[in-house]
Amino acid sequence: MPGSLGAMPVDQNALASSLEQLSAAGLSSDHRALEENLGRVMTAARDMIQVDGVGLMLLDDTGALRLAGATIPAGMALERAQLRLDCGPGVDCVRGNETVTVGDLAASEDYAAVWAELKDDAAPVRAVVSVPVLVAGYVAGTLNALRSQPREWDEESVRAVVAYAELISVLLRLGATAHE
Amino acid sequence: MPNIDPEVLAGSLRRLEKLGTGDVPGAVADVVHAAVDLFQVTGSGLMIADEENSLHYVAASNAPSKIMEQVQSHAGEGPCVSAFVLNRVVHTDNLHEDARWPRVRGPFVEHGVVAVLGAPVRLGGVPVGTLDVYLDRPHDWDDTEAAALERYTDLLQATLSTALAAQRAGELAGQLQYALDYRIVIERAVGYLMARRETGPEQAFDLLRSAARNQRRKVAEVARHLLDTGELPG
Repeated sequence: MPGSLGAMPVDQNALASSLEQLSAAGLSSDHRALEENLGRVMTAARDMIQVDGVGLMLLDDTGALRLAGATIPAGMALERAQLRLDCGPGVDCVRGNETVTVGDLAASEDYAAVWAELKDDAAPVRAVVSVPVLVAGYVAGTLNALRSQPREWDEESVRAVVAYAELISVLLRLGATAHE
Repeated sequence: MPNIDPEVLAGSLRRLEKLGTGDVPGAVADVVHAAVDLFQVTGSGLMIADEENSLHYVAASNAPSKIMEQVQSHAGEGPCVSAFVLNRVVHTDNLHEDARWPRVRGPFVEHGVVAVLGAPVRLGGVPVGTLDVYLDRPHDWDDTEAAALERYTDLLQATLSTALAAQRAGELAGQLQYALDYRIVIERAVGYLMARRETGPEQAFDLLRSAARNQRRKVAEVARHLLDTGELPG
């Protein structure tokens, strides 16, 4: 990939472009700006990691995991199914504070219940990687990268998702700073 | 662009607030650490200038970054010093073969710092420090990587501006204000010397630094003297 270091999947051209948009938009402390900046990072992550979609789930002040947003309807469906069933890669990621990768949901014994909910949808999510969003060492939620075709996740792709989860963490931390 | 649910976001921020995660220096450190994964490098660091115009780390991802600070601060040269003085992105692809900074090259390589990309960090258009990323192996940095790092410093600058504005930024805000105050006078003095002596910025800065060392005075004091009298002291 041009502009990336070695065979890594983060395209530096695209990264520069998305960061430019982010800083041009400013890091205003109001919630509306924060919502927009989170959306920008998610869109950039989708484009640069070259996945079909990304979803974000966040823990609220009662400790409940909630769906913050997703770039595709199939992602919304997956996140909702996980929350309804209290089961899924995102749920396990937050619970265990660890990255969870699933190459094919349809073949996963652990998440058979989730796949049962999704399998009749049009173009359901098949491959997922869930990375914890850590703020000051605390799990704040999970960023999920999604593919509609089964595919194993390589180390470079996972590292790129981690990088975008870190950007989301920065935005949340600044948001919390302004919130206090 | 996805619509982020405002209620969910507010709930998340309330939780983070309860956990006490909203410190600004912590957010700045997060930005610096995130650079390692985003740029897929060995390490990263943010250095802010003091009144001697020496760069000091306020956040570094690992130990070699700390060594880079000590060596460059002592020698008064290095890729980050150049990025700061020249106020533009500076890179070295392979320090084994790059003779531009003879005093820092050996210690850098010894500690696994081989390829460095440094960008000036500015506040209000004035450079106050540098953000650097490095690799432990030779690497041909290209224009896209330089552009990406510059854009990343934009994000860092926005974070630092928030730090300056925040009531709880504490020591970091002090460091930034200090860098900003001294940098303006030093930059004006460097510009004056460049015009008077028809020299480049690095040489002009070196003249200032040498005069300060000979006089056992601070660089900022010497710069102020120059601007007041039109002459270097001594």
